[in-house]
Amino acid sequence: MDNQTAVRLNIKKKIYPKEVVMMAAYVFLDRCYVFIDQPDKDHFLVELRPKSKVEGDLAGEFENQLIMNSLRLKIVRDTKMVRDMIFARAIGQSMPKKEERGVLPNLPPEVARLLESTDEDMDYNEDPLGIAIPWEEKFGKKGGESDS
Amino acid sequence: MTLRFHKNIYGSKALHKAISAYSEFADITMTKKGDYFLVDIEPHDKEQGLEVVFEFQNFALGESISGRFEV
Repeated sequence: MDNQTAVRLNIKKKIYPKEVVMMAAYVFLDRCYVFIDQPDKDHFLVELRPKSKVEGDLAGEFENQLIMNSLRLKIVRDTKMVRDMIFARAIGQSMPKKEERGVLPNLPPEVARLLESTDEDMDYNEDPLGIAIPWEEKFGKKGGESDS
Repeated sequence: MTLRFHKNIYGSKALHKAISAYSEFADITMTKKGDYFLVDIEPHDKEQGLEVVFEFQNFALGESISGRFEV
């Protein structure tokens, strides 16, 4: 590990909230040792220590990341309602309409009947297809038969 | 060596994950004091001690960030 000098940035919380500082710091984790402190209630202190030889201006790059992530956070917050609506509509439209649910080809009649029934019609104790009946009870062994 | 991690930035779960991940490289214990988690770390290999400490810090920060936000 090269002994590189650490770059320290004092960041005002009022300008860059915690989420922005942390998202910016995440970008540098692969090439720097990053440490974040909160020396007082109004500031963050970010320390960037390069893992190898520095090329470029680390402080400047970090400041650019702060601005980019501030914008990203603003867009996320401003568009949250619209995105939720789009998502809900997409999910809703992917569900088949009630009248289409019964139109399923080539199904056994008892399966089609089950699909058409609503939750109110069904009781969890019912077992119309006999799935819960043990195999031995359903097809019972005859006397004297072995398993092999 | 004692490291101080501010509770507003570093999560307890993240620090426990980091301690678990680096337990084979160092003896690590954690306590709380005020707004900070205090982590005592003694690397097993003194030559690479500083690197282990820095990597531990990075791991803890990475876990704190990914645990709070989807990145």
